[in-house]
Amino acid sequence: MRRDRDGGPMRTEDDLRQALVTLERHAPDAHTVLSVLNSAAGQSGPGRFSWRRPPTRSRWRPRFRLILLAAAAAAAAGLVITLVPGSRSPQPGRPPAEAGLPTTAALGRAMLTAFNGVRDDIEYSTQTGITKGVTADVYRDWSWPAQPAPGQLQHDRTLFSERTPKSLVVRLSEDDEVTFITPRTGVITVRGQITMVCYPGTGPACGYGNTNTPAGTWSQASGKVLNASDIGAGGMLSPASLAQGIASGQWRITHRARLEGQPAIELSETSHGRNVIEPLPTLLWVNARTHLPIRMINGVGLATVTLNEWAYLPPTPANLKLLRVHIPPGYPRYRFALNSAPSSGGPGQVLGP
Amino acid sequence: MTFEEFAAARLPAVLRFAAVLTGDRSLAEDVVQEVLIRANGRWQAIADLDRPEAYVRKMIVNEYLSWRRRSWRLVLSGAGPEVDGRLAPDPAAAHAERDAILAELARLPARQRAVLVLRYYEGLSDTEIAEALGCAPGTVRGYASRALALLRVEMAGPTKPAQEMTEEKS
Repeated sequence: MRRDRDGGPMRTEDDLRQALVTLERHAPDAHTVLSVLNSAAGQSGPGRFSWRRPPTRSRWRPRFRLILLAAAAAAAAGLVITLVPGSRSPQPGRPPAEAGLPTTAALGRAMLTAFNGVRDDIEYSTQTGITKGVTADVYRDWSWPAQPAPGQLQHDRTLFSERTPKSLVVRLSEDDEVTFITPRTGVITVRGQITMVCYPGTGPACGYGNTNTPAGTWSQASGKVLNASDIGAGGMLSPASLAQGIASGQWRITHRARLEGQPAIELSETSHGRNVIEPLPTLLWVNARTHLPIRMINGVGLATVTLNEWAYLPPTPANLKLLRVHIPPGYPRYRFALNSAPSSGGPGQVLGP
Repeated sequence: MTFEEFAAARLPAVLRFAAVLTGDRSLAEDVVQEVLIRANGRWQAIADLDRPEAYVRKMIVNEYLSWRRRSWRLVLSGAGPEVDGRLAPDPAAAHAERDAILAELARLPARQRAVLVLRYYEGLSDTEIAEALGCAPGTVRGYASRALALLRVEMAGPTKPAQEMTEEKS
């Protein structure tokens, strides 16, 4: 067997093919998908679409986001213009960078230093999905501490709002609070506790699989938490990762700008680097004074745009309250049925408030 | 072929493709749902294409690449590995290496992962992948090269033609 430069065994293309095929076991149930299609088609009773297998219980919340070209498009387009002052698509042939701008290596180092200065703050980030000028969903995340060390208790809260065929405006859908002990680098699953509030109006339930929480209830459970690879401390969209990407040539500094009154440095993504966010054109603005990221737009000039923004809050008692979910008065607690079939979501039990 | 006929005949294969592409059941489900809802709305135009299914798969790839993230996933104590295979690797020693590959695949940037899935699962040529992703074949080779290096996969030779790689799974 051939070995790589570190002495590890080299794999073959067939090894990769065989591994990919095993992922077929994650294939969703066809009937579940068809049920959602029927629902989206506005039909009830026997579906317009059918599948040969007998129906099974629906597990997942139908989290579809139809493209809605409503009258709000014009207003939302105005929002984009407001949020992206002077935004321009990164086009080939663009003039060279302004004189006096820092090098990417220097900016990356300055950003890492800046992150160390706010490591004990609360990192507040938002991610807004905009489709054809219409806001489709909004995530608002609070993470504390902003740069947790392994072994440190980490608190995260996410408010998720979305727009669906049932809610023609963006409505609060889900409020999650997660706490866990920060694992060492490279470990993406840890034991943690999640508290989830599911608001009615956008779908029948929140959560995943056996943590589905019905709309109009709240739940709390401990279990294995998977930190998605693209977020959170060390994730590819974390400021620390952005700084490392800038230092390694993943971004090109283009010019100075002003963003909501802040002096900023604008960068555009290149196709180099470990965590390339391509394929969509991506712009990033970093505060020229504090060297902390302000905003990133993924999909500049395209129909589907994702807007990320960051801010850092001191851990005052008032700000720490932002890490806690709010359980609306009268919401009953939903308890999971741990012994139910893991792939079904299982029937749980709604208790009194 | 009507959309209903397409869904009845091809949906399982499309779902398997989405599962391999995303490596995640719930994400695969969300992506396929969203794509099929859109495809249904303009099925007449899609049905007139030479290969409607190939077009739908291209839609799925694009949807996956532009999918916004979900933050947290929780697997309750007592739940089995079917909820998310990445959380519960197969204990059999013979499968350890395969699980290691899957774990490393899960950490690849989406575009690199998509290139590998299209090349090694779908069996597409680099030219076909470039057409699906809207980029140059050289760019595809660059993504593949980087991803294979990260996975420590040694290429046996030039990319094989599609039919050699994978027969349609139905």
